[in-house]
Amino acid sequence: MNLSQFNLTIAQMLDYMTPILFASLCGVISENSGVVNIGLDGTMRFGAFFALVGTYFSGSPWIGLLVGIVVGCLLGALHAFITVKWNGDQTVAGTAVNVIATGLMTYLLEYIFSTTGYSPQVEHYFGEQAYRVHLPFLAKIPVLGAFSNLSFIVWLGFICTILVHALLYHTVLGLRIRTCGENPKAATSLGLDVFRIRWLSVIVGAALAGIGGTALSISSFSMFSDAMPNGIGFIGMSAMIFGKWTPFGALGAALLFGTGQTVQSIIAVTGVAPNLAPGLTLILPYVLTLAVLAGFVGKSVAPAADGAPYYKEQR
Amino acid sequence: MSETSVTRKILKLFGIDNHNHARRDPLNVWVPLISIGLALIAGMIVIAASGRNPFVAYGLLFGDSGLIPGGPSWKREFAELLIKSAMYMATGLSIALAFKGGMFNIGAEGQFWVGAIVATFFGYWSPVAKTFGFMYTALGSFGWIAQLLHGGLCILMGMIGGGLWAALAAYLNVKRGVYIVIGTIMLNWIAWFLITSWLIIGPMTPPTQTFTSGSYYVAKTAELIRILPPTRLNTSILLVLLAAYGTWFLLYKTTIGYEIRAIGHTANIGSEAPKAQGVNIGKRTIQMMFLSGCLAGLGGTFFILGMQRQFPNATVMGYGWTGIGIALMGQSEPVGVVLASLFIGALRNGATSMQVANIPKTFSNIIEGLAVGFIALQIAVRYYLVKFRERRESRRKTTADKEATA
Repeated sequence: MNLSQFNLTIAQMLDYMTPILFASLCGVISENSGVVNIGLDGTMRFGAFFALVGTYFSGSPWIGLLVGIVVGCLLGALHAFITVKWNGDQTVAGTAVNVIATGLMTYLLEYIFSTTGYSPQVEHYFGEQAYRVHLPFLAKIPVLGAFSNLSFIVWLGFICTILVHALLYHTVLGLRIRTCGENPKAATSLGLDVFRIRWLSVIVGAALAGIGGTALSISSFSMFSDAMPNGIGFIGMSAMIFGKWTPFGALGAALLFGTGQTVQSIIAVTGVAPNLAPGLTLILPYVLTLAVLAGFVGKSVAPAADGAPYYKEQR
Repeated sequence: MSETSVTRKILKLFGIDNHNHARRDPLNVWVPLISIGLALIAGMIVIAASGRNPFVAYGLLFGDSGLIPGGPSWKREFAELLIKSAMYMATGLSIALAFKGGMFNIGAEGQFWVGAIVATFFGYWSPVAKTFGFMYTALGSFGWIAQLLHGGLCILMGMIGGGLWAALAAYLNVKRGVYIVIGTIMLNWIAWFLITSWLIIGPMTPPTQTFTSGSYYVAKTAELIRILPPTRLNTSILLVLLAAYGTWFLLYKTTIGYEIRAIGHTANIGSEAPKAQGVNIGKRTIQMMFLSGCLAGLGGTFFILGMQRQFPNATVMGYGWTGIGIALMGQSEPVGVVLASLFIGALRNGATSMQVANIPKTFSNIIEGLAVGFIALQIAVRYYLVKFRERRESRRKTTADKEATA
């Protein structure tokens, strides 16, 4: 394997990692405010499909990205409406989004494009050379060379990680979000509007999941496949847990899980271990997450009020 | 609600007496019904918005669902409905039982597939298959005994497999503090990838077959016996109804069930009352999740022994997810689960014929998802129902007052 191949593999891995990263950032914001969003898998599916539709009809992936974000926001608003306004069960509401996404996207795929399984390919997408960020001076350096020719969306992933970190740990709003996730009663006693902060966090989080979907359909590929997102939302959720509910932790976990998948494809291509079944590497994210939750490898603890509906009058 | 004496006698026969367990609030029935109704209306809007006639589509959906008797193909459709419902009923019961114990068993999906793969294994594994095959030929016209035994063994093993998969999540929850929703979701995907990306493309594939052909076929003796010959209807529906009755009996007629419900009732308010009464919460939780996993695994065995006869390569997830909707629509009561799964089975069955009207069969997912969404919104639904009831009562009162004064 020569240098450019090596860098290409890393670039591939970064490409694979991006949807996982966005999904886990969605979880980080949402769960730090105390709302579990299991529906992020479905939200990604919505985002992936509508981003593709936007790109297909406008011819510009920027419009697609915008549509993906808007759709993500709308689904976030739906989730917040059910779980924050009406104190619905967060897992049930998320499941509803996932199930609706499964049915509705297949329905719309058939209705809009008259195809089953795959949408037609779009002409312009973020994976294309014109939409990549070119940094030619890096190309000859090992590892860093991978960053010389990345899709815009991958960079957006890094930027969002830093932004989310800054938001959560270096702003007043971030402190408030985390307070709502740890102890909503204390937050109320300090005069914060827990409901408003949770609404905001869920919507911002879901918008990130929408971008994650966009990263699947118009960055890694140039089409929507009916199998999308193929559980990537759930990998994102485990990345969030593995990363201990922090943005940089999520980035690290997403990198690790992305590497797992890339190692899988390297094994398949180079034939190092032909008898190793793909299933044994595919389960890696989930096994690691269980191990870290169970405290076999470090310990990951959720925000204290994560998943609990908040009733203002309750004492 | 008055029952006739005949129904009461029949109910007594099964040990169901008048001690009504469910709180007699009519809202408990209205909330799922209204949710389903709203979901169906929303489904019509989706169809109408895409420029198709919703009435034609729903005519096709319910006409071929098997729910409405009559027509030449009704018997076959009804059989298909029951076959499909049996699997959903199993996962629905699994999740309902866990709900009663205060646990969200989102992992019925994984337990379903573990049950399926274990049943497949005991269906084709040559020592077992040969023994029962020999028994089948030796018994001659009593060959059905061998079929019962082999099928029973596969089902039992599948149930234990599913149960252990759930008990693992419960163990991690009780001993290690892993939140049950996360733990079971992780175990779902572990089971799914181990089966579809390892077992059925490696160790469990016949060597002569191609990469995409799935596992070995189970022996003839392992298949479920068909009970309505021209159709595919098999014993699965009887077994699952038995399981539903068993779940009800466990919950309302045994000490374990009482303790499970006590744990469930107090779990969401953080009370430790059962513990104070000497209930070993950890042990009961693991036992309850084991039983819950057994029920989901039962559904998986039906999938193999009753329908596919092997673990096919192209399977799609969804039985456990649908089970969540069913358990919610049935308000976690075994009777409700039976009714809800018949409805969902009908929806799934009829959706196949909606393809005639160019509507993909995943349409039923939209209805299901919307119904689950409205149930998640049940506090809102209840709020407006109570408001409606109060307004009606106050109006009645004012008219009565007016009449009194007039």
